[in-house]
Amino acid sequence: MVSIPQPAFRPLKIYPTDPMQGYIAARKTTINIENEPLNPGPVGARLEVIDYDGTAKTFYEQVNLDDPNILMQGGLEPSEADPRFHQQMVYAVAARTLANFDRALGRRINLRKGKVKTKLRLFPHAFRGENAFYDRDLHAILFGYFNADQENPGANLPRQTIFTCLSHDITAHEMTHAIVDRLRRYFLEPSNIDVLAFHEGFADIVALFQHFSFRDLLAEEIQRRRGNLRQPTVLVQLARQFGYALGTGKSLRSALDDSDARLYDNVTEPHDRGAILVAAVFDGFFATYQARISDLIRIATGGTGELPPGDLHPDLVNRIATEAARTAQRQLDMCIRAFDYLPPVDITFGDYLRALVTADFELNPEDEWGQRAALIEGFRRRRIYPTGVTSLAEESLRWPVATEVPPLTDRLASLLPQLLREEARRFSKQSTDPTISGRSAPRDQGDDSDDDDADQQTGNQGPQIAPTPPEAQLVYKEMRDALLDYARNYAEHLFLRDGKTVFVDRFNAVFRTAPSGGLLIELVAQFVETDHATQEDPEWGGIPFRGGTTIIVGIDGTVRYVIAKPLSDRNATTKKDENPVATALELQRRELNAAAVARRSQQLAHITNLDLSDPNTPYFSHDEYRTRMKARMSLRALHEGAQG
Amino acid sequence: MIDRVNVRMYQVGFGDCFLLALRDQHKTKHILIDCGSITEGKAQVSKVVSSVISTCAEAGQPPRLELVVGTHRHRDHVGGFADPAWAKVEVGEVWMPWTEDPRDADATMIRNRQSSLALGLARSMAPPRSTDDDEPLSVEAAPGPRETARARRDRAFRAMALNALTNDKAMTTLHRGFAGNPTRRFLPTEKENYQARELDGLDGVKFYVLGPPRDKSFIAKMNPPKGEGYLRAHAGAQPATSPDGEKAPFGPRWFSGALAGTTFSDSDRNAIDRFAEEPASALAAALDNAVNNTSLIMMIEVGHAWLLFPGDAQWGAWNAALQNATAREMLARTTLYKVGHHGSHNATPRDLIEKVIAQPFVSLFSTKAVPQWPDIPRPPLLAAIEAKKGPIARTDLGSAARTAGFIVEDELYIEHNLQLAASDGGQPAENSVGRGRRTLPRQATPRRRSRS
Repeated sequence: MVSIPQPAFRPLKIYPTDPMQGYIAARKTTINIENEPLNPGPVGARLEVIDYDGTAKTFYEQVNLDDPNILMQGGLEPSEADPRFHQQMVYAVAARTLANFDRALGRRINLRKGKVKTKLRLFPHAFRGENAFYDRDLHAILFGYFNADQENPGANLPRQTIFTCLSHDITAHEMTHAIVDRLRRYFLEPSNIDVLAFHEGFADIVALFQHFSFRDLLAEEIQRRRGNLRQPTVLVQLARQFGYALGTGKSLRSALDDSDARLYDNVTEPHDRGAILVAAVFDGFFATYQARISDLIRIATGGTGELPPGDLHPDLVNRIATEAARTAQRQLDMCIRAFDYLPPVDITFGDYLRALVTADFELNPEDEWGQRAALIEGFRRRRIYPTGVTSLAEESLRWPVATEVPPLTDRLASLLPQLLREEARRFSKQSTDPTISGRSAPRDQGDDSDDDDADQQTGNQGPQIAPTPPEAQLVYKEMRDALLDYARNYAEHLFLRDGKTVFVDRFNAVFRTAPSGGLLIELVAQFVETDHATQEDPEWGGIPFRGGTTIIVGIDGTVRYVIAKPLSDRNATTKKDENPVATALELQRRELNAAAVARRSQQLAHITNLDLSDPNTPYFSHDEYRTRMKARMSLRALHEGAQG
Repeated sequence: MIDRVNVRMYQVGFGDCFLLALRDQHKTKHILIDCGSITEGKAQVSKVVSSVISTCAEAGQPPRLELVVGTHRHRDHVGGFADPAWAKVEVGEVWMPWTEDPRDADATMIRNRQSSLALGLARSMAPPRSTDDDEPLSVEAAPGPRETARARRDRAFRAMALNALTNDKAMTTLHRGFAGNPTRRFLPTEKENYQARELDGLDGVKFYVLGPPRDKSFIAKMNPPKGEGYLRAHAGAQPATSPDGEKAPFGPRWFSGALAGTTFSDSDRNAIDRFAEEPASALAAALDNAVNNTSLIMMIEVGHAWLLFPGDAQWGAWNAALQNATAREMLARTTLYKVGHHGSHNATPRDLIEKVIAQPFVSLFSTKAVPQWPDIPRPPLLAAIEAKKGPIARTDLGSAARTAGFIVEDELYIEHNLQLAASDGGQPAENSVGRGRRTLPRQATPRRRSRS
């Protein structure tokens, strides 16, 4: 019997915008999700929807998306009244967000957290309350539901039940929090004013750009706005229903409603600050988009550029929509790709700009769309400047190329191809032919290093969980050991303070396709070290001073970039004396050490500011005082505050 | 000309009650700043009230206060005004923060928001109460088995929420009570720009209002989060329900058992239940902060003395004052400081102590140790103030509080006497600190007064 090829995608229906009553009839759209076998829930390889309600203390009927009756209609029809549709939508949007990260980062994101929590759990109706948040300990996203405001419900019905899980934006936002936390565990530690703001802003960026992949919606908006996507349309507003339902009268956060918003020091609230990052990225996006469609407008208007009154020609709308969608997708890819070029700790918006520029340059040196330049201009307009760069020219924004760093040792170099093979296996498209794909190994196992944070301070990786096949596990373990040896031997070159306390936080092989068609394969590894004195000191509130280095290694084993945020080195001055004729490396080390000293006092100043503006501060018990900075990592509290 | 000022700090535990007596050759006139407590029982508060009233009554005259200031509507500052005895006290003027103005739209919005949140919080947290007079913090522990840490903590949060409750009777006294039909002022006014105010009958005394700010950005700091989701979820002892009284957003036909073969464990389930049930205690603290930020911040200039009474103003309000050159210059002259918010972390800017005020000053701590809030008064703040070498009085030390420069009436008050020069620019005399330590009397035991 000839078997039928497996479909690559599973079509599922969702609400692309929040399903408001009265404004425009709730829209619906179909999105394609990577086809994976699903158990009822849906429970897939990396995501697990569990419909448990902690307020009502009950489970709800769970959807089986492989039911032929559902498959035949391409997923359940959107319905607010059927929890099974809610589960479908949460799964679909989360999977879509995850796929965006997979593609842009050139690897399969690992969502495993330890032995038991092997999947990211999604709870579409976790509690009654106006909140939705990712919780690290529970390794889950919890969505609340509530009743709309009685007096001021916006376009909702008064007292209508609002489900946060039916908002694409909220799901994408929280999903991004979860993924970012998997990629960079220290980005929830508020070590400077930008850290949590980055988490929030980045999550909004992802949610917003995903709007541009809803083709029907995009075309309709372009027709309505006559090509100007900048006006406050559905596309650029986050979570309409949620915002209106709370009685605040506008969407939760809008990236662009304030064209004068700049990054000043007095913008401290993470969402407000994050919104400026969003605005900078979108300024860049709109500039590129306008440039991309200007020729279309000229063609359509015989060169005048003045659109005639009346509806736009559907073909023109179609072409503009295509450009908008492509530009948005490329911009989103750029934004996500930058992650590999970020230091492992203490991110600032300026670091992010440098990482964006470097990552994109590596893949796409020509920048033929001018997208990178437009982005830099967007950041400049919003006053986001990196520290330690001489100008905003692209060359000075890029991280410095490593010159004097020794290549990987033989042991590492010989492990690298094995790691690449293993990671390639996980990332590769699986054959649609069931006779072939049935033979391939399961993909969603990988390096499982981040079991818990406990063992990492010693450089010991903790219990290894058996990923299959066993030889792959061995590759990861050996690779980790070899990287650790490398870091210890060349601590000085990697700007690590000493080799003893350093541990390997994450490492990945990445596979990317440049717009030119070329393939870029790299190894990315992150090393982290902690100032233990600050860990014990109650004044630091449970979040110690950390340093870390990200290295980017080419396929030939040469280290291309060393992106370092070192701990401050107490012996820096004595070293300088020993070495009167400073090498470039020595100069860089001095500069980084000065930055580290500044970073340390900045972190303390930031703690002081948070203490002052936190209403809880006067009432802390001694234990709460000791762990107050840890408590401030809670996205639950952060998201609650945002609705005030 | 006023030649003598007595600043009396009543013993009201975790609360404030300050009586200023300003004396010239002929007469003594009185100003009362706040009167309330959240740790002391009704008996102590009425003892304080009657002491205030008898002190401001001259022989054969009805009791009279030239000015009553209610810095903000927290029970620990105004609770004592619920006492019916105030009805016979004649008052010249009553000053309150602008947020109390019944005709101001912003003020009304802020008050409504604060009191509805306080009401909701109190309703959701308070267990059945025996009498209205119980303060949750006035008892050390509930009788019966040893109180759990959690219960103790909840009791503290309940106290915080109750503190913000409307305090109807007390606020009625401030707004409409007292004899003599006093003028009510809500300060600062729109046009007030830190200029001096004067009061009929108090020649040579100048008042400067340094807060709360009136600008829009600051109003946000007085607005507590809405917290409706939380309140709806926790109103009463009932579990959360929809308006129709349903717990679940879907009917019972959708209910089902747990799925097999997932990673969802019993401990996960407990964690979710906790998320659904646990009160976000942050809300009580946020409300507390919002109300504290409405505090009237007042500087009183009399002779060479500059007396600073900031209520419980928090960092936001302080910051606004410190950023303003005029206000900052004024703050720099402080000779006596009523320590903000009972000595807590966010109510006295470090800059004020370490940079702005150069000279030593008298510090008055009206506070009491509450086990749940071990950081009040805050040790680093105490240390910073001690480093200024001015006299410090603390109501939380009991009879251990005998420091040079104060008169102590056990369990009733601690008083500081300022001798002012008879004419402008004259040298301050005994018991003042404006010109450094030299002039301080170094007596080991303070003068005692007989009990009244």
